[in-house]
Amino acid sequence: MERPMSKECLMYKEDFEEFLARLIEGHSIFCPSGEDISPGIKKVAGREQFALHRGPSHFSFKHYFLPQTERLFSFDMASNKIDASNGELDDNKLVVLIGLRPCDAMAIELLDQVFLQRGPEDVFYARRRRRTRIISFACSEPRTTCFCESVGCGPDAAASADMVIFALKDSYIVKTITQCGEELLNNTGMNLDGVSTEKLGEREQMINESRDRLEKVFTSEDLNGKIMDFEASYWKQICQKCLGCGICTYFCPTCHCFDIVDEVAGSKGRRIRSWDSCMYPLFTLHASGHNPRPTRKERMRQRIMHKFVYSMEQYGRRFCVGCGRCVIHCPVNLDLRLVIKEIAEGK
Amino acid sequence: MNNPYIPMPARIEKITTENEARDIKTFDFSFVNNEDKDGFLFLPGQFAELSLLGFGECPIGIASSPTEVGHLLFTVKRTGFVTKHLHRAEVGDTIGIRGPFGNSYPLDLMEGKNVLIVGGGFAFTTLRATTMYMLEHNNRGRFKELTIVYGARSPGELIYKQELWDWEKSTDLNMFITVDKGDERWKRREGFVPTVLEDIAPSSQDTVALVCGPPVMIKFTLPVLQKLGFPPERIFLSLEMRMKCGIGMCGRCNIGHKYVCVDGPVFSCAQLDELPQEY
Repeated sequence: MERPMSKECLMYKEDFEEFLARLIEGHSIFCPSGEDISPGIKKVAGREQFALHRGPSHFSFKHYFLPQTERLFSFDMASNKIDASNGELDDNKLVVLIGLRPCDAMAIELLDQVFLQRGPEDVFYARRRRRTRIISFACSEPRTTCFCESVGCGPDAAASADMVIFALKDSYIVKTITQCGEELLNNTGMNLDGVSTEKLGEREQMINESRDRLEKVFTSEDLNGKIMDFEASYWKQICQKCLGCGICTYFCPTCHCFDIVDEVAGSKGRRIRSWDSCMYPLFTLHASGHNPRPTRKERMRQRIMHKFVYSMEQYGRRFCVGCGRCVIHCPVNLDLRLVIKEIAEGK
Repeated sequence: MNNPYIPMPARIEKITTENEARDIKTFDFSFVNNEDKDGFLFLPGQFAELSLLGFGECPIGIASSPTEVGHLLFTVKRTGFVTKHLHRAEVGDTIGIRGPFGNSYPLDLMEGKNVLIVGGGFAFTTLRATTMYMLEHNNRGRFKELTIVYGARSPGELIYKQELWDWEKSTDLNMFITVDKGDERWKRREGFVPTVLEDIAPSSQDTVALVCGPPVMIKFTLPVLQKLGFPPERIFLSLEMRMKCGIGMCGRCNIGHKYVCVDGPVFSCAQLDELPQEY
């Protein structure tokens, strides 16, 4: 979003404590809550509330930018009056998201494409995004379901981060990526040293170990060229197991489809948008009764082709960051990695 | 920054019931605020979201031409939840409009050429807008011969009847009206739209074809146009999809990598040939 400005410095444990304390003093800080209750992020009021989780957190940070349910405006049906005021959005105080992994940070870059860059901006997304700074943590403990490298992300990817922190054994390397990141660091007034060759070596080893842990069920080469064929017979096979529950889309950090509905109590109401899913038949059902995606086959094909084919045409990007949440949470163990592998092998 | 989801208030000035079944009504709106009226710049083929507070929104093609100053028409068939409640509205009621959205019919391409319009049933709305646009006296000279083939199931289901009879008499265009099956009072043509089109056999030479109608009409019309020599680049269709946001974000109206709300609703057959058959 701005000119790159990369700078690295070293923090020891006590420096990091001080850094967090000073950040909390001047900003609204959010980190993963560590709980499996939506929205999965919490405001950090004190240092003790910040804890780094292993691998990607339970939920991504999509909840922050695109809440599961959001009021677009309120209205009064009797007077036909609309109230679009929104105190939360009017608050321009800087917000810092800290502790997300590179995959979830990259997902924000992809959501930017949808809500900021393709056409008119989405005011709700834009307001939150503009006041937000992102401090991601390089990933030292990917899970067995992770496949970020296969989709062009990686344990040390810096996409959309203003600052990336590498947590080493007894110290931290802080890498500022953007000018905002640099300002954030400078404003804490910390006096920090550069990074020694020894520490750089420790980081390299950490990232390499992370990479080695990532299972390469499919590789980025498998995604090159014409990877998926709309007419292919495999779609009928792939969807057999799918229940159509949509949990994959709810956990996906890049799935952004939403519904708009009115909620009414008496003469007052509000128009809200809420997450929706292409895995549901109602998603595309016309009022006439016609449905262009009548069965799970078409809906599964839509989800996968949107992520890996259509998004390339629309935004020049694949809408998958390899976080593996769809693999973890699928109730019938439908593993996206195996699906892609099978497709690539033409099964 | 503007909230793109806030509808602009508009008053219903007139309601016309279009058909015998009384489930198709044309609403004529005027914006409550002048700045909304001045900002609502559109071309024939575009659509808008009609909003009823407490009930929701639905995307409807704009049935009037921007040249019909003082009128903003939407022809709505009572089909789902929102349209059912819209049909209960009365003159003087205020509803909301968001838009205009989507692309228009290819006016630049049509300019200097003959135009063939093929419409069926109630899907004639944005084709009416296009017709009115071309017939406006300052615009008429920009287009060559205008031929319209329009049909409905029965005489009672034809919409914009008075205009149809006027166009039939006009020398500005060639108007062919047909019904699938007439009644004892019906003195005009009988037969399905594609069949009538094949009989009339308008020349494809230097002609752009605009088609909008029920799926079954489109299915049989396209081979006829092909036979008449229309290349896919000069046949245009207006598509429908379930929509919510209208601005390319909510993600449901895609056909392959195109969103009907922003890349459409008007597509050439050449464009559609490149997309999955999923509409």
